[in-house]
Amino acid sequence: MDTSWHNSIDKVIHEPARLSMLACLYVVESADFVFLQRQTGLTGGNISSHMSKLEEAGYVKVEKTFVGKRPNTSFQLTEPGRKAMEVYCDRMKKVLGDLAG
Amino acid sequence: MNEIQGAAKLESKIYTGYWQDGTVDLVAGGCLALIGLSWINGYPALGAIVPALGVPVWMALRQSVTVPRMGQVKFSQQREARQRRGLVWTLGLGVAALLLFASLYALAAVRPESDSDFLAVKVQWIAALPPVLLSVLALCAALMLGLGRFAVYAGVLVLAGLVVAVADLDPGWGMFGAGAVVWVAGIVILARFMKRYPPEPADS
Repeated sequence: MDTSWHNSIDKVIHEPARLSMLACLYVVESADFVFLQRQTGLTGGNISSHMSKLEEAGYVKVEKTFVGKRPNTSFQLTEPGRKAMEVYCDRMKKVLGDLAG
Repeated sequence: MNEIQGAAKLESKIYTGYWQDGTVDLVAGGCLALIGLSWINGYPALGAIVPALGVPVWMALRQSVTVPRMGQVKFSQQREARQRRGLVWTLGLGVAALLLFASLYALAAVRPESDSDFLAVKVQWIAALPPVLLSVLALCAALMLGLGRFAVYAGVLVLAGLVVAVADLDPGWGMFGAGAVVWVAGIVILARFMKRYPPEPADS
């Protein structure tokens, strides 16, 4: 059985917290920090650190603005991020399909 | 294909979840009850301005109660377009329902005094029309937002219309009664929402 598939899996995406944030951003236009927190159940610190990694990879665009006097950070999936998610889903489906036999 | 279905399902779940704050129930119920009260007190024209006040009140509530607790999200352009279409249909149906009721009521009002009891019974049923017609709007909202409780509200409105017809009441009582039920449901949902989601600091 060929087990070299693990090299083709995007490890930036293949992390539960990042995957849940990306899944949420994949289906909406954009979402802010609090919304992502509510949807994923992650803490603020977790979201910040994982978002930095996703931003570094170029998968997420971060926009910092003010809503009234409150700072507001919103996130949007970039085109490469969307493509990477699609590739990731295809590969995982293939790996799981192979395992199921 | 499965991926598209899965993504659509997740998007629908997130979209429906964004309407579980009870603010729309609270404002819609309050508007209905106020319209009913204005009719009961003989000022039906006052009822016409209530929906115009309801929209800014709802937006302010959403901004001050929902956004600090739930955050902000912008849905896809397809979803926004679908929402706009749904809104246009709902408003169109609302206007049509209002015109239908006004015409029927005007026709009934000009009927000769000598008419038989049969016509009087018909007038009684016309009085039941406003809540029944509004139930169509509640069903539209149920379909548009994917919220089953609005289908229940549609049932409450139909029931209110039947009570008004059978008990020969002013149509305002039907609107007031149904509005009060929706308003109370909104209070309960909002209280649960606020308890479940305490406000978050803007950015952690």
